[in-house]
Amino acid sequence: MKKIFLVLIAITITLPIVFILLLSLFSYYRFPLLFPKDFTTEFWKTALLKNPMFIPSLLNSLILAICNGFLSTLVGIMTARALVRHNFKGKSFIKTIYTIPLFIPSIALFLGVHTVMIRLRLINSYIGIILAHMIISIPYAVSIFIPFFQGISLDIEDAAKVLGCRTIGLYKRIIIPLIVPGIFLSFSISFLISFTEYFSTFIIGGGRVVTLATLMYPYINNFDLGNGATLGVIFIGTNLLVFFIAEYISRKKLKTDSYLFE
Amino acid sequence: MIFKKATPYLLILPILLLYGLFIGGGLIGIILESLGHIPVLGLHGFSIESYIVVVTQKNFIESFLYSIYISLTVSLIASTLGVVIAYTFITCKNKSIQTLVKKTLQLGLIIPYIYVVFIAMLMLNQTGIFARLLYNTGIIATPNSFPELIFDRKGIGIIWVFVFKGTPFIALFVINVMARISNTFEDVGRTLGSGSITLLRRVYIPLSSNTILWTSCIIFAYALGSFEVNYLLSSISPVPISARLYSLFINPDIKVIPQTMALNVILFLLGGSIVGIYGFTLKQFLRRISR
Amino acid sequence: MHSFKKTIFVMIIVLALTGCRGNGVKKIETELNTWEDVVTQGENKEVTILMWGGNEGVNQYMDGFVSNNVKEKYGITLKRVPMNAPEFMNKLLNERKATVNPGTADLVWINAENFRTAKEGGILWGPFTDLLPNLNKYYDLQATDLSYDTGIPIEGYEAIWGRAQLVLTYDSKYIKEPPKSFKELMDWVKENPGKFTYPKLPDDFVGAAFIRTAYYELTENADGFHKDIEKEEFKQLSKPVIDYFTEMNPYLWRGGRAFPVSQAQQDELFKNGEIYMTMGFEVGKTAGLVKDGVYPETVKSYVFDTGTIGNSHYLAVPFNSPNKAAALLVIDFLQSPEAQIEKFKSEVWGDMPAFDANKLDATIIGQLLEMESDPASVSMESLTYRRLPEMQSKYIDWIKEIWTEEIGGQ
Repeated sequence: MKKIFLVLIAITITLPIVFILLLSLFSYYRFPLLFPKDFTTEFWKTALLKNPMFIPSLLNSLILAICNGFLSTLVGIMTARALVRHNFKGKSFIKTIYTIPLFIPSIALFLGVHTVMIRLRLINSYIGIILAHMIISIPYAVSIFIPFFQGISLDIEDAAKVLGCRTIGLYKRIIIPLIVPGIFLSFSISFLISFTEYFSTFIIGGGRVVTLATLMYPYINNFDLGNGATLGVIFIGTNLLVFFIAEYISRKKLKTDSYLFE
Repeated sequence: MIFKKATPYLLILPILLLYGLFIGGGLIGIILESLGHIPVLGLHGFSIESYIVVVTQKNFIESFLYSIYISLTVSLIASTLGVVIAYTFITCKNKSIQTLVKKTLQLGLIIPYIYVVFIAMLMLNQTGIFARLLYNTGIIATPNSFPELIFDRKGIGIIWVFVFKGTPFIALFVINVMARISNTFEDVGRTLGSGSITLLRRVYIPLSSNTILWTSCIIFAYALGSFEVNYLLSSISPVPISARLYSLFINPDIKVIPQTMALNVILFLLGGSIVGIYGFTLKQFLRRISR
Repeated sequence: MHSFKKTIFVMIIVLALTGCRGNGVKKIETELNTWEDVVTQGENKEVTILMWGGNEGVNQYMDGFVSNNVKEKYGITLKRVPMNAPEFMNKLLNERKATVNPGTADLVWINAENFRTAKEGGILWGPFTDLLPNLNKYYDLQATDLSYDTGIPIEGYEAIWGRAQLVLTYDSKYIKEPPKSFKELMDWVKENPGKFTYPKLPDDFVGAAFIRTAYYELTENADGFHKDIEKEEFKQLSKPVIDYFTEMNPYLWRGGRAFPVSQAQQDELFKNGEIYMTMGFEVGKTAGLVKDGVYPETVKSYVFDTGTIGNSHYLAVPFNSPNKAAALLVIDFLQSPEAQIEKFKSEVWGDMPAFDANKLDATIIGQLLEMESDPASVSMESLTYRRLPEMQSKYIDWIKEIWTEEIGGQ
């Protein structure tokens, strides 16, 4: 019973994605045809060879996602560390507001962010987009690291300090190794958020920074089945590849099994 | 010593700067523009006129309520499904099925919203896959006899998309928490003779309630505030509030900018509060069912 | 005390950020007095064009034919960025607000109400059309749409790219005799409930043009749309149109409760036989799709006997374009007979040339005639004859408003 239910869930998610793959390879799909027909490689040629924006957009997506993954994780570690280990004025304030970007309707949030970006002249720039993506990634990063820091007992840290470990050494030898799974998780989620984000990239990038997400939007909007599906397959494929690599590293090098959700 | 005291402040500086500057500054920015103060474009006023125009617009309240209805339905369905999937996942001891489900849930997390819209159009339309299936098996005679599942007034299409994306999200986070509970508490529960449902209610839900709560709130807020899905799949009336805001945003008329920003301020503040109310109510509910 | 320090700190950071950004901007005022200046300054630069990206034929025309030619001729690298007009308008207005100069876009594809906003908002550079050699050689400078765009004086701020007309498309398998006017359309829609619709206003360009066309036939007041009328009077005038579409609404696709979000979605419905008619501005597009096998051979396009809205589209240079001279070189190439003819081919784009056929060489005219013999396309002649002039742009805005309040959203 449980197995059937779980398999059904898996099928519900997978089938449409398989269908997208089919649509990128077959050109004819009119009612009442059940499966598309007329095999073609035209859509793939268009996407990979004819569209001059394709390679730059893929690179842009990767650059932004990696920067966002790295920076959000860093800020996440810093904030979570402060919240768990330190007492300071305004701690409860930070504790209540750090998730706030996720609870403000995104269109309203980004139109606001946009007005600031305009004043700071950060529109049309990579920095602007990364900062915008960080705003919606950091809440995840902080929530990921809080339990990790809570899990490190104070005794270990104190022992290390007694043994003469300085702050840098403490991080290098004790803290970082303990939170490595969190780093991977936080990085992947931030990567994914940036990679998928359309609206903020679009308004802040202003057409100068084209990413895969902004490249595919017009095709979907105009219901261009073949070209839209092809970019979709590339998009999902790239993500899967990045995650596969990350998972491989975390397994082999770090000997941690728990990658992207245990 | 001074350095040590400053450490926590240095640690929270980046987040404070980022939030203060862009969210706080953003709010101030949109409030200023909503009052009609955009000097570069020749607007110098300071009036709440644009708010009055926006609020008195036809079907404004209806739009708002419609969006709340969509968000509420989405988050409740996705949370329930997510928790059920997570619980089934944890208690199903078959390794290969667990791997399969985990991979597909991750796939569900990866696929962008806009593609789920695409899928919704492909599957739920009156000439979509389901309709074709029924047509080819002779169950329906014309595409028109297939029920309206997208661009419909009940928002089924929109809800479907958010549920499709939201469920894997909630399920994965909840699985993550439940996996840690699993071994420790289950034996205790079993020895005390509790059944599956009781175990879920008394042990799993209370211990993962924080995660359920915040993932559910995120989905609620997302359904309320993302324009793509709402804009592309809504019927002509009622129009979800975020789609309305987007329409205003892309209106080329300069005079409309203050109205756009007024609606933006309203959605910013009210939207945030509504999510808060939803979160609070859900918290009470979770507390109650675990008793 | 702490919060005070924080505020100071934030301010310093803000100032620092704005400061270093501001200093880095170098302003180069280009002097473009002759075409030679344009050519010398424009060669080997990069040109970014922002344009609606919903038609793959158009995209490939730009990325292939045009891009290759400007590269070969002038060494210009053409970068096409898909963006809907309202979106780039927004972008440019925002850059104007922030006085971002140089910006990132060199060319935009624009017309009508967007052109008005652009001109009012001061986001266009110009005037520049006097400089363009092909325009001055092959185009009829007296033509109305070379001086006015939907009633707005162009004054050299945009250069014509093409002419389009609203064309209806139907499948003769389902429709033997397509309705030839709005009057006939009403009867046809009532006989075939659920089989007709039009793209949703106010955001879709085609849907808005369809409703405008109805104004000409139903209000019998064609001249009125060029005079200045007050909003109230215009609303009075709209009454027959409102009545007409309100009456038609329940017989539309989905009972008029939903409309296709875009022209492309309407085409998709048509392709699957969910509706029997579609419409669009690309005169030759249907013929091209028939050739490609996307539509069956029974699909044909036509215009109403009572005429449909004709509409011209243009290219303009944003105020903060970093490579204005190169942008002009690209415009000039797009206006050349060669590029215009290529664009007219039904398998390429199917957009009507804007040049004056009388000023062309005999060989080019021969090519034109040959193309028009295509059975699936509408001949240019029949179009010119049934072409209704475009309205003043403010009426376009009002019509969108009226539709949203009175017809849709009910």
